[in-house]
Amino acid sequence: MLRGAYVWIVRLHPRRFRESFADEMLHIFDQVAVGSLSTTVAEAKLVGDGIVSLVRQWALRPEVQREPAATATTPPVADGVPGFYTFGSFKPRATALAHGLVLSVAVLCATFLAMRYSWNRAVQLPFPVVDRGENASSPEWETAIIPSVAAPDQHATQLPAGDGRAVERAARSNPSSVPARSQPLQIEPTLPATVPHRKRHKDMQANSDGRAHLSAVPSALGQGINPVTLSPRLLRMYIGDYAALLPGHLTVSVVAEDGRLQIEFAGQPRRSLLPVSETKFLAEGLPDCEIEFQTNPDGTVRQLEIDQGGQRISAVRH
Amino acid sequence: MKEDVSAFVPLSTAALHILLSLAGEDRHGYGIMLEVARQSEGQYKLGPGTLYDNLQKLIDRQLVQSVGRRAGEEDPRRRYYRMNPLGRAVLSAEVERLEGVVREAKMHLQPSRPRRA
Repeated sequence: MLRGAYVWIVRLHPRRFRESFADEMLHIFDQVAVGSLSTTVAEAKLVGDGIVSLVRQWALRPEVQREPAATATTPPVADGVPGFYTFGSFKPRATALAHGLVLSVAVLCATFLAMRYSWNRAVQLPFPVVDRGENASSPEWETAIIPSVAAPDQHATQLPAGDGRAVERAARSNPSSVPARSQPLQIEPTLPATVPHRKRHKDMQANSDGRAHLSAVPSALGQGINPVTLSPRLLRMYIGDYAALLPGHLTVSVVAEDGRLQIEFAGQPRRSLLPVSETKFLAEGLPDCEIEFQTNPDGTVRQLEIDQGGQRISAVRH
Repeated sequence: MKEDVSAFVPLSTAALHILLSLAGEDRHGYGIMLEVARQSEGQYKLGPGTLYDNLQKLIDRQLVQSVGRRAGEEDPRRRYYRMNPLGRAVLSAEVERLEGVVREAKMHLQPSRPRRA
């Protein structure tokens, strides 16, 4: 064992020193090991001497580390034209070539295996869940998923929202409706394959003052779906801005556009709402996403709840 | 020649013992180690690392040369070393220097005689 260590120590010496004295150092190691009574102690001393020599050669003997200069032959210069230098023929060792070949094949195989693995399996990073206060500022990684408060001019076409202050006070008095932890709202932009509550489809007419023409069923969702029919007055009650009390302060806007009730998550395109009951709606392009409006005893809208795949987010009306 | 030799002295302890061991005959590395231990009566032992580090320096300074392997040697890994004339001159100069050191040491280390009143 100690001899193996000594061999490696000798091999780690600078090349010039190694080529000159490696065989003799191993010869001395064998001679000392045979001729000594306490072989292990003698071998340990030689290993220690080898380590000291190794440090000394690399640290204090720069002249030994320099490779002998290649033999350059300069052809005679004729007419002042510089000649070309030819270096001695370099022939790598066969063992070095074999080691390089094995190493290259190993690296190539590892690369292909990694590519195949990553091709079949996507890396899924867990979304961090952090307890934060209500007024905590949202870091960038949260705002990238849940945008912060939307600009007010985004909802220039919406209708008056009614008395939102009383609704907000009522909502804040009920803290159980506010999620304690921030959860990412994952929007999956695919059309639902099937939609429950198939009921009769009927467009709604414009209201009396002409500020909006509300249609209970958007055309994209109307195919194969029989939603309930809601009065324009009831639908207008839902129009307004809702704020989810998440770290990112997600703003959800319910607006009327093109005669339809639509919902807009801040920073994302609007989606048409399909009523499946007086208070529950389905959003276009969001499968398993149900939006339910909750009202106060006096009939005013207090908040909406978004339920997508078991995740519930409450948003209080402004 | 004298001026050239003066550039090599004083020698290190290891270099001095190596040159001394090669003064009588050509030796291989292990033989040098044994001779140094014999000359110093076991008080100074060279390890292979120290031996060949100093041998390398002595060869570079052309005080010692490698004469290769001998025919009929039991171990083909043995390589013999020979002291050059320059090495012999350097060793002589070092010995002279050490003689002066010893002489001075003896003078100063002799017990002082009481002065006459």
